Amino acid sequence: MTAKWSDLGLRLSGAVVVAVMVVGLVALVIPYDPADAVSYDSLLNPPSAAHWLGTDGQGRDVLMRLVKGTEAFFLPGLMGGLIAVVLGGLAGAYTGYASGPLRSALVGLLQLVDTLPRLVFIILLCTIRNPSIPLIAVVAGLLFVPTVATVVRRKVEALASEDYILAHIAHGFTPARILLHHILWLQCWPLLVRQAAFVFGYVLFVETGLSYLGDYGVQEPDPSWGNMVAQVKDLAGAGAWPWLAPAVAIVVTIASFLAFGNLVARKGEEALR
Amino acid sequence: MSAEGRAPLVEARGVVKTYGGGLFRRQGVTRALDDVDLDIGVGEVVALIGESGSGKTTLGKVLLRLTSVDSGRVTFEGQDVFAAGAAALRQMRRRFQMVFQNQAANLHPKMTVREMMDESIRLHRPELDDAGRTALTSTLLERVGLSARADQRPASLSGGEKRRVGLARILATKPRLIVADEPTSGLDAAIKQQTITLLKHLKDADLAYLLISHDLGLVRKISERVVVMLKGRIIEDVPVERLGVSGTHHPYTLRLMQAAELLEDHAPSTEGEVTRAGAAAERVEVTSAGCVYAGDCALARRLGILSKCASERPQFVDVGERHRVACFGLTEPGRESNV
Repeated sequence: MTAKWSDLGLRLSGAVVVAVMVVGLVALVIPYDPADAVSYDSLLNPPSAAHWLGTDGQGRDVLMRLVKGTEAFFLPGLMGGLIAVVLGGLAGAYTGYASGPLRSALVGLLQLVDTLPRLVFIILLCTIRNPSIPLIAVVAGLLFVPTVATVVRRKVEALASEDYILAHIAHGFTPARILLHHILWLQCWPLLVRQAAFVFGYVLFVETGLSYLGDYGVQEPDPSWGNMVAQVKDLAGAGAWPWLAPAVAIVVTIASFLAFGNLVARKGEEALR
Repeated sequence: MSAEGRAPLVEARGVVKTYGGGLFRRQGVTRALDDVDLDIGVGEVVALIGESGSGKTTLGKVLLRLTSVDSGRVTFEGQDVFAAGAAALRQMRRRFQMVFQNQAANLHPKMTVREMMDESIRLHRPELDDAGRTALTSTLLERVGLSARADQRPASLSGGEKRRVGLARILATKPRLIVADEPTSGLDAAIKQQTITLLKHLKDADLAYLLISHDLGLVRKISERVVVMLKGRIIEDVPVERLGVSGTHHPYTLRLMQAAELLEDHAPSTEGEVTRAGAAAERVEVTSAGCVYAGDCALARRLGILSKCASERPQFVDVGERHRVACFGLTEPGRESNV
């Protein structure tokens, strides 16, 4: 990809990411009572000045539900991304630097988790316990810890083989400072950003998927982009806005997060070279 | 042993370090350091020479506690290096520093030269304020001749410049010992000369160097004492003035010197090959207790003491002032006629 296209991609995806963040934060503070929003006077209205994205089959404002629907994945997605990056980064730094039985045990545990098929595991978890979305996000974050840990471990091992770590210990830095500041913070941030964005997108995907299927995830009348799309099953072609808007939002948001993570990481890695 | 008239700075006694030989591994244990004693005096410049794998770098790392030892004791300024706690070791690390062979190892790819200097000074001179750090950074960069490169990142520096940044960072700690591992490897002749000049220039009465090098030219130019290692043991410890075919005594050192002269003079000399040919003629079982050179040693064969050399470890013999050699051949009567 040429620099021009990647710059444009970075701006566009960055704008979406920022917009999702802002909307996600706004949604946390605005009040919304789904029962109150029902209005049988304005069923399936097309977009208008009063309802920018029209209304759904129960007369509820689609834009409002779209905004409020971010609540279902916004904080869980951030939490999942944070868990994967923080635990994965620490585990990768430790297993890349240390030796001994504890390190071997941790590497084995990470490999074990890595073999779990993520989506199957989450659905299995749902059929057994029917967990909340935040719990699913935590589990999703944990399932990505081995991926992050492996990339970080390789980086640490590569630097160790160049005597980088030893040279900095010799100079007087503590291993903790070398691993956390010099390596994780200053040199691994691009890949951590990429992974965090990926996990965020993954949590959004799982949440909307489960909510769409209906038995798990967010239940009506609470809004989620997933259960909003699910209305397509009941509308029988009567109106497109109630499901088209969230469907587009899901695709655009996931694509933007993945693209943004990748492009930021690529730029960062170029700068490190 | 230690240079006369100098207070000892580093004393290593009976250092043993082995690699391999794990629980299920059938291959033998490699003795990287096999009962090594080494002293470095205050302000002394010692060169450590020997072929790759002779344990030079390992010994350098052991002195700075950058690797573990199986047994033995190392003291720095009278303090036991391996017994030091975390706080004492941190204090010690300020006074002994190392220049690594891989010049990128000392540098952070993301930071500019100035930022790296600032980081080192922050770590080692916490008493300085912002202005003090800036001033010290300029002083140190000037000393290594890098003032113009302060805002560059390592990627845009040459090999010689990278080494000098490493040195400038090290000088921020006011070290009393610098271990420099192959400080001129990978540099072209002009830069090599610059580096040697710089190392001499940075040296003061209080600062000792341990130079690990293959480069006899470098060794002759700046060191005072040369320690020769082979297969994890020190076999000769000689003042630099005597370094050469006529001044050294151990058969292995002689071979090294002959090879070096061959390279320097391009003069045809067959002596080295004769030695090799002689070595190949007789095979003997060399035990780990014997002299590490016994398997290749022509002198031992000529003197007829090969069985002794192969089974007993030669102790050091003083052959002159500050000059010791570990070789049975020196005390044998037939020796002189063969030199």
